[in-house]
Amino acid sequence: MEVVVEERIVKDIKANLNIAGEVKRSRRILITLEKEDLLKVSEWIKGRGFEHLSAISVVDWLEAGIYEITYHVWSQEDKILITLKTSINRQKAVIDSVISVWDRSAGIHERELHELFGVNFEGNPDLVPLFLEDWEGPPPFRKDFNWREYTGEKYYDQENEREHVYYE
Amino acid sequence: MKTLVVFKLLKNMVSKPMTVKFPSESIPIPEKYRGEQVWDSAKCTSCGLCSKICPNRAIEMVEAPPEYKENYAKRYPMIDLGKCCFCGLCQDICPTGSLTMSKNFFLSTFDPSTTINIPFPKRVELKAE
Amino acid sequence: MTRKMRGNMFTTSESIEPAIDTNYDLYFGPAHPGSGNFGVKLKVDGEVITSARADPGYLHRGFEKLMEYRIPLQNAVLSDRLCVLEPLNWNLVHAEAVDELMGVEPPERAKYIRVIMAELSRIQSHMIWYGVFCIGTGFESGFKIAFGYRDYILDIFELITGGRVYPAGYICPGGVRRDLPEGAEERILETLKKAEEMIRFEEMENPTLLSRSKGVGVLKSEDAIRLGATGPVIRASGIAMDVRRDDPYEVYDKLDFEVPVRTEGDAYARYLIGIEEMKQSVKIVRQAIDKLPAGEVIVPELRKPKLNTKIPEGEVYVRNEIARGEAAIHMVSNGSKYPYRVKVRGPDFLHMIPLLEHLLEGAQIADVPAIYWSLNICPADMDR
Repeated sequence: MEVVVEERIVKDIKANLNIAGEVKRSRRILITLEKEDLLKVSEWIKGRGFEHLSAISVVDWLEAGIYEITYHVWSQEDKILITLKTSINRQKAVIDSVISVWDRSAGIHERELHELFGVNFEGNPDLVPLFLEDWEGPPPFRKDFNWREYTGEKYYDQENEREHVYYE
Repeated sequence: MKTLVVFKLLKNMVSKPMTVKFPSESIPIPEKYRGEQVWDSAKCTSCGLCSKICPNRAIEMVEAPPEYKENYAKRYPMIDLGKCCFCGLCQDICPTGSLTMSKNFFLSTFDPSTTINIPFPKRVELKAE
Repeated sequence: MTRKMRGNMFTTSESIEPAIDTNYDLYFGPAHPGSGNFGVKLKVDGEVITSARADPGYLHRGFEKLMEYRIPLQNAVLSDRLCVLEPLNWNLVHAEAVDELMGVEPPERAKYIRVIMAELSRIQSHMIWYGVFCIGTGFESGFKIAFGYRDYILDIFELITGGRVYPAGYICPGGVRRDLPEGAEERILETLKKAEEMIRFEEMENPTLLSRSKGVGVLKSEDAIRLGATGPVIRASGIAMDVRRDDPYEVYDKLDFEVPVRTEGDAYARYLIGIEEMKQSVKIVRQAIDKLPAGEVIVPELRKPKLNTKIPEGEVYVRNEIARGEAAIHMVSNGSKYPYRVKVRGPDFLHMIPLLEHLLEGAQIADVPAIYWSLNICPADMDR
């Protein structure tokens, strides 16, 4: 498959920002970066035409002790999806918000991830809870959150005979 | 454009309605409809795959009570239709074709305890272990 | 109590004083019959909305977490439930994500069947859109007729997948779960005629819809991209963004279809885009049935369900165009049989929170249902 445009963009990023990118397949580019570079790279690729932020996702790697944050950004001009990947410490889960770059479409994703993973997006003014009501436990999508215990304690006041675990 | 509306209106007055008069007639149910499960005890090998693939854990392999032990020696699937989502994975994975899905969808009930299909001849008190 | 009643509003004009505080809070949903399981808190000044705050969470089921405890085949069944109105499209996104992770290439026939089913699902979803848009603007016959015609397509789903609304993972990793039954192609072509009948009905001049939606809820194109709009909403605002054409998946690059665009950006334009898209979908289904090759419908190694298929280590981001906009799944695997992390990106997450809040600001109370339903909304896929 043709990956001419993709390679040109990767070369541009290397020349301007000194950050290496990788062409995964046609129309897909992966850029792994340090969290300090995030805003710089975001602003640059936004100026390059990557205006549509498709999603932000967090992966909780429990053993490595990191949160991997990926930003999936689409350019309608070039028809290419760039994935920016960065990682932060699980204990100190703080990262710069990209709300200044992609505006509210980024803000709402960050608000969701703040609630579900407890990642703090510095610079996002609106990180109030979104889906969960009266939530007292830890952020529920973390891998070390024991949902079975939590729901058992909080929501079931009696044992439900039709709900038991009989195999793994 | 207005005349078209009027024409459509007149046509609708004489055309057949979209619905059917249910108890006396009904729309045909296709062959591969996913309704209530039918279980054939003769073909069952008690492999337990249906219970493992079930996304809702609606199938549980149970042992027969003592009075049925002669005819039902192994463990057999007990299906809780209250949990079933009628996905048909149990039918697909069954190696002998013992568990199949029928066209029966008249399953609403007032008593939740009747939704459990016990694989033995008579309804008996079963205690899940 | 922010509303101070000084003097009776319903007496003669002398007694109405400007000192009445006209600011109050108004809740639209979640128990409103026209809102779905979703609420908006509106701050209102008289008849004009000064600010809106979406209040999601009534349908939050934690799909992303649920999927971490299930094998891909069970997740395919689960992915139906992401959106009630278009389960087959969500099946397709999930199946593609797993296919790409496992490096499986579905057979050609399976790809065409997937496209046919996805497009039929899009048509019936647009019919619902039209129906609920009608009921939101006070045209109830349109609602009933749309749901009546939708049932003809549900008949097709029943014939092919075995269930009317939920196909139960019909589009599964590796292909589709079973082949088209005897005579299904003819039945589909017949049903397309019914769909075209419905399109002709939608195209008829409709003063109710026109007066309630023309010039209402205008979304400018720069706001559309800023607020993350996709699908019919952004196409009604003048940006021709369609994943099927820009980032083709399955066999969309071999099919001939157009991406309708309008520049007005109001509720009426979105409604017209819906009609155009139904026409294009009918065209796509016709072509796909024409080109439908013979052969297998699922890769041989996945034909029989297996319990312990390992998903190879990796990470994919798969995007699809569903009826409401861009749907995507970010799936990460660490080599076990369960996916390690699944992120579901639904179009309505963006449409219903930032976009709706933006559009409702400054609108009239009476226009809320028209704006709300013109966005082709499904609370299930927003909350996940």
